[in-house]
Amino acid sequence: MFKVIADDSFSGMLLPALSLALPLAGRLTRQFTAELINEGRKDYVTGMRARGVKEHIILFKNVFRNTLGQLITYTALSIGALMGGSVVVESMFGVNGIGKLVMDSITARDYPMVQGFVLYMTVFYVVINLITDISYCFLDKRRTEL
Amino acid sequence: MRKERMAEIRFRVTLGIVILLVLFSILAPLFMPHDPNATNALFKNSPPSPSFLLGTDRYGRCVLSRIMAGAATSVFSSVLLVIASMLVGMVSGMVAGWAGGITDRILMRICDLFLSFPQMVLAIAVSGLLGGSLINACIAMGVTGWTVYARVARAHTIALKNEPFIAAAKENGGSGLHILLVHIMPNVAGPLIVTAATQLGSTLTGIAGLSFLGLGAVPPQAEWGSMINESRAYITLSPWAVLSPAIAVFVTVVIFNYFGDAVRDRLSDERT
Repeated sequence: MFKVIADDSFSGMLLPALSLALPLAGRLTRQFTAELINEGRKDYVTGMRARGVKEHIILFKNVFRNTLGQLITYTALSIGALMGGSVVVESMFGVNGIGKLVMDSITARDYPMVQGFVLYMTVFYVVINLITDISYCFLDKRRTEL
Repeated sequence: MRKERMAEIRFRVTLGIVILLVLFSILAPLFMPHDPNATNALFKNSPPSPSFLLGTDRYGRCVLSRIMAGAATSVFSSVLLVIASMLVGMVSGMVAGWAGGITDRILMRICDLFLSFPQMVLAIAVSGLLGGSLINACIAMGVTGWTVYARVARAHTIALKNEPFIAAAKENGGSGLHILLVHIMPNVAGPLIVTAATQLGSTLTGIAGLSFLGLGAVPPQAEWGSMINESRAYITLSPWAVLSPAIAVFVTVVIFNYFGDAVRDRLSDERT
């Protein structure tokens, strides 16, 4: 049904992608739920309910918007976990990716290659964190500094 | 009231299970039905049977015995690693928060340096460069692991520094070291234990993941991650050799995560 050995086709990428995504989805769901429950306890939500605003309007137009910054932070920070996890998943499904490259260079004692891998991943991670920080200013217009 | 009671019960039950698990991981070598490293060509890939309860792997080694021996490496080493990085983080965080000024800045910049690496990426590189062994895998995980605790300890130390009872301790002529150990450490320990308890599960998966890649435990040493790696090529022939360690990792991580949640619920209730 699905290809166990990955290739570039959609069905070939499905299993590796799912095995990376599902554990992350579970963790993010829990954090999002906790965030939304916290926000839902605030006074303005009670006030809107008292005024008879519809539940889905409160949820999507107010509660969701106010927690969006937190949700984006969690998602962006978990990209770091994905990068390490991708090495394991790539070796499991035989994906010819950067994770397989670094494992091959570790066995070949090709240290500059390993250093390059760490540098590449770290720069990627730092840039994503920077974009996350900048995005706060767009989400919350009251913020004027990072 | 009822909610607090439930949190308390959940905390006690999960704490008991975790203590049992750690005891089991220490005492398991005494109860192993077979030698975990003894190979037997006659019983290669044999399915679960009364003499081999979980079957054997491709070298004819008893999977149950290997899982029990693996508990000693996987569970025990992840608990030790969490405790060790908590201690390192606590000391450096408390020193940074207490001393302030240049010491604080230097220690926190070192923290930021390690935080800018994704944890597993650095762990793979460090254990790859150090060479595969369980100790090196633990060092690789610990290099980035301590920063979390250092930040928590520093934040709480700074908050405590301005409390009246610290000023009173100073008036009484207590030295800096005395105040840190007797007055600040007990107050910082609570939040740190919460952090440590929530990190147990991910540390275990981290060590198992490194061993799966061949960067952790060296064969023939039994470790759950490396057991999965050794047997995964034979999954159609002897699925029990892959599924048993995988289920062991799964169950242990679930237990650790429940324990982490229970500790967090209980200690955060206490604070309010």
